[in-house]
Amino acid sequence: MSGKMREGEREKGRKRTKGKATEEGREKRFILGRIFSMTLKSSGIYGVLAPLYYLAEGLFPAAETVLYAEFFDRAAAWVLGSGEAAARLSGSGEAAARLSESGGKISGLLGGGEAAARLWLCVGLLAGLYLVRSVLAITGSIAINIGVYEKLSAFLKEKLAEKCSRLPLLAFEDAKVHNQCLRAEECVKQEQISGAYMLSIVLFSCLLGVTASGTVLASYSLLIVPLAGISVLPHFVRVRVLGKAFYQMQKEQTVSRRKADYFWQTLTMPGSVRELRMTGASGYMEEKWAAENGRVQKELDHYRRREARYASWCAALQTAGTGISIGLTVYLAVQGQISIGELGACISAYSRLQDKVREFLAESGKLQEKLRFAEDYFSFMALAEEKDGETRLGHFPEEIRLENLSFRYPGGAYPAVDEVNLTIRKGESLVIVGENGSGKTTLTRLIAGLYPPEKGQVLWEGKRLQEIRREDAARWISMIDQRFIRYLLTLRENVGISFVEKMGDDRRIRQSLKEAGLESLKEELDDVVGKLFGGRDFSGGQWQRIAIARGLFRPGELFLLDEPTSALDPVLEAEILQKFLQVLKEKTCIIVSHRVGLCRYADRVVVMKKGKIKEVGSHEELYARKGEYWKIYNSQSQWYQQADVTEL
Amino acid sequence: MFRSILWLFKIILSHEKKYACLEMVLMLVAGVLAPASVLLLSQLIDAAAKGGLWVYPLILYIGTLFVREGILALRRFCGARVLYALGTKLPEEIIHRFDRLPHRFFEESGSRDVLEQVAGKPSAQLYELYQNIGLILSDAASAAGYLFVVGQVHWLLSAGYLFFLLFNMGMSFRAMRGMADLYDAQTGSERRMDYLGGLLSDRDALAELKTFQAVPYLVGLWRETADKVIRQRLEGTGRAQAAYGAAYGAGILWMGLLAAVMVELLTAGRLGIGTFISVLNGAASLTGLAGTLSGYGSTVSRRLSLVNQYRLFAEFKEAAGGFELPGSCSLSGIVFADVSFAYPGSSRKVLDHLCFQVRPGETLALVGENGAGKSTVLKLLCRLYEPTEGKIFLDGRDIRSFSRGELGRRMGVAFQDFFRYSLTVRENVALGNLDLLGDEKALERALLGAKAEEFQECLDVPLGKLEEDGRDFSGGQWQRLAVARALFGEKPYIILDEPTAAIDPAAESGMYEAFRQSLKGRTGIVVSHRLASAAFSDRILVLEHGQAAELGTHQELLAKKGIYAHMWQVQSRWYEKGDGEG
Repeated sequence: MSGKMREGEREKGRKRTKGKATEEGREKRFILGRIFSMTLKSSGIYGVLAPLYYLAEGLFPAAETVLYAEFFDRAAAWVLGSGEAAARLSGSGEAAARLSESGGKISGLLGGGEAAARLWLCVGLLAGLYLVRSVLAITGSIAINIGVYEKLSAFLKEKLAEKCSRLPLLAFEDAKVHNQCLRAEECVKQEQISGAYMLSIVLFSCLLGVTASGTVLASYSLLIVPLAGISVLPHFVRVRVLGKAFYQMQKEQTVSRRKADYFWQTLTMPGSVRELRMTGASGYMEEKWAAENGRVQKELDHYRRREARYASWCAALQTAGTGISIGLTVYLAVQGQISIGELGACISAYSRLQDKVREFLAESGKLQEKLRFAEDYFSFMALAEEKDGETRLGHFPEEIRLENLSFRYPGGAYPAVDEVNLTIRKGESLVIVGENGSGKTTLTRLIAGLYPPEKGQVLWEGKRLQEIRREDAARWISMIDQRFIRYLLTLRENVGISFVEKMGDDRRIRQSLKEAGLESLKEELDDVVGKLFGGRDFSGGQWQRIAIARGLFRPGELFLLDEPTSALDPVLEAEILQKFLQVLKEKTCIIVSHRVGLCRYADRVVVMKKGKIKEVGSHEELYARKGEYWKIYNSQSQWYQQADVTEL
Repeated sequence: MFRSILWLFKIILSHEKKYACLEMVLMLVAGVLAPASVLLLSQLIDAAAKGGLWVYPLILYIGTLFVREGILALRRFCGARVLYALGTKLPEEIIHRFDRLPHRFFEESGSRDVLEQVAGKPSAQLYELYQNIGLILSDAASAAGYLFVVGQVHWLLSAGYLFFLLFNMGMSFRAMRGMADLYDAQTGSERRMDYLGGLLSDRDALAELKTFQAVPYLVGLWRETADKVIRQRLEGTGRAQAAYGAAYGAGILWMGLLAAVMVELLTAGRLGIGTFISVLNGAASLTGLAGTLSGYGSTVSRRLSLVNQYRLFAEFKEAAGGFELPGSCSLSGIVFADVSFAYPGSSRKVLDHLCFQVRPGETLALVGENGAGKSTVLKLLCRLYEPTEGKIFLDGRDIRSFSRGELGRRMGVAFQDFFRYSLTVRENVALGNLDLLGDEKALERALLGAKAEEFQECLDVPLGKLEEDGRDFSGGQWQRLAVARALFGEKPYIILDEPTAAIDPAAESGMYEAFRQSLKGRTGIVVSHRLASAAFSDRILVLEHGQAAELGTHQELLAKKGIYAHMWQVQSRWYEKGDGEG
């Protein structure tokens, strides 16, 4: 479903920008600009060193070609003993003059002839060239790995996490925002932005390399360059055509693939393997898997062979291009139009040039994709953040009033909370009961200000909760949620995270653990908890009790307890619920519970049905009324009563 | 390492012999062609320089280029064939083994990791490994060829090249391994960062963290870990780059040596211009070989662990099938006869000389605290594990004598962590007995028994997100489906593990009533936290510390005033007074 929605959005996005291709282009450049400025900001000097290395790398092949040509020519001149080559060399101006000067020194040292000295000079220059390249490679590599990938990624990840925590909680209920978040995470995880930065530099380096090598080759013969260039073009066509075909195939296969993966999972996951074995249905599942997998594999195979065919033809064409170029060069050399040294240097320069062009063509396609990912990231980062209120509140209010409070989840057909009116007095305990989906949990979240009301308002001492500073309201609230979190941190952090200021207070933490019935826990407070990081794993019940300790650790006034004991066994549940009522006697408590029996110990009971409050009152009042509450209460106590009756 | 490589070859050749072998051979030949072209090039240049007959050497040289491309093309086709074979046959083999493995392999952490790796569909990775080994062989062939070619020029070059090759490979390999080890060592920190980042984008966690005002604390933890990771990476990268630096240095020395020897020989008149140019031209690829070789080597040595995982997987012992016992005993129903059990690798007895019988036609409720051994009883009954001591009888036969199919036909089980099949409602229920897939009556009965009669309207609606029009069920709906699956097909034995855990308490009593009806005439075991469920059973077994602590009817146990009576009292206390006041 999420996949579908994503596609839909893409579709919409495409339609919107179709007519404004130029604007899209500007947008893309804009994104690249943002990527560059962000990289320089987060990676500093590393962000500059990385491209420097690639610029040098782009120029290197041309320099190599030139140097080798000279080297070979001097060698040829030596062998042939003809004055022609030497004359050509000394005639080439200042550089040659400097060469011969330093060559003179060397020849002096070696005691050989001038020509030999020049040969040795070339050896030295070559070694120098490689030395420079090696030094650059090492600094470049450090800069790329640390600066661009590590630092930038860490920077982006941190910004993303911060952004998530600043979004209104409700945003996470919105499938669209959720998908956007997933895509932004994907972008960061796959290092797409760092990739885009590096790729644009690599592409530039390729262009530079092609231009430089092309210029050098063109200076030998103008014919060679277009030949070497054209012979690579089929690769470009191949990349485009096959890329499209592959994308198409992937798209058509998504359903089959998803099914095959799903059936595969049922055949390999412990939970399902166990069941299939008992029922003897694994053969049935395997058939289903084999059908989907067979289809996918067949199509993949078809594609792979097609790709192999295309690649082979392109390679043949490229080789033909190389062959003709080499033939032509040899012909030119024999004709005396170029020197033997140039011939030698050209031969390896062709394949280098072709490789560069090929690389450029192949990589340039990827930039688009990376920029699309980057776009996802930036658009997520641009989402509106939660606004903080401005009203100050110095104390916990005497009453919290809900007025005509309505709330609907994004995309929800019905309001989850519908026209609710209720006044909660300081110090009272309230139990909310009702069927699954009747809006109990949503109501507690509205009271805590985690969701904004759609209609009506939550008033804390007459002030609208949305307008009170978050900090001023939150300091009074503690919660124990049904979907409590298992923090895979230390035991201390698991409890103390609800009140970070006092996290270091061992006695206080132990006290909370004791209140949650965990005094016998063997773990030290600073032991890491949970299997993922090498700690001991707790049972569901123990985790829930840790969550309870966490809720009790916070010095709140308003306790929101949402099914706080659902994972405990009945004996323990009774114990803990009773302890709650004891410990929280003075506090304002709102408890959501399936355990209707608890209502007898609360000040008031709220019965909810389909988002509305059906009944409010004490257990005795409501039971006497023989309405909704009476029904729920009896359906639960029925079994116990029956048994008691038969016993009597 | 060598054994692992042999194993890899064995796995791949067992699925596709012809093309896999051909691919290896082609790679070797392609490797040899590179140095060969150096020799041909030298002839071509000599011919061009002397103005001699240059057409034939040219054709020969270009011909080699084409032959090389041809070989590479053939190799691509071979690769496609091998991948196809691996993509279809290897997973099939894996599933078959999964199906036959004893359950304990899924639960023990060591073997579970192996299974997870293997379940990650290793075909493509294994092939990549195979291909990488091929590339190493190909490059090694090239290197040997170059050794020969430069040896023709001077023995010193052969020696120098060999030294450079080994030194460079050793250094690069060390650098790569160093980085790989660093990454491995940091997976813990990475995982922690992912985990912390995940908390900060998780809806439920954020609800808590915002209330507790603890977001900045978590961001702080995240940053601390991230800083540590980057610092270590910087150090690690420094060390790795130092090793690379040494490798580069060796490369420069080698190039210097090569050029110097060539110049020396040339000036001494002992070398033709053709050889001079062609060998120096090839120098770049000669030098590059060291880098690629160590790159492949490092990848292979890291990935070989996958092969080892696969080997461990292949060596897991499969579960034995059933066997017939001579004659049959008179122990009917379900009998646990002096059964003890400790999980593999643990000395703690989860079940301790447990004895009880579920009489034919009777429903037994199994109650007890968390960890009293309730779920272990079910696991043994389903033969997910074998008892360490004692025997279990079903229908008068040792359950070890049942084949798996036989046991499945007799016993319907709904586990607490039941599976949610993204199939149709009909299939979800009928997986209990696929022979009756089309039997509407049987489906109706099973759904009725699980209080899921409303699903009859949508028998052929796909569930889950696999299909576009798939419908999603709530936890309670899925659970009722799982119970219906267990009840389907009129099996004489029914095992229900916490069958109402995901059900709305308001609907629970209806479920119990339905169970009571559908378990009539069958033998059943029901495990439940909620004691109300015990009241509808014929008898109740209370487990404590793996032993049968109390056994009897609800009334009997209440009268006994033992564990059960206490539990009952605690649970029903919530309701006692209300009843009186109402």
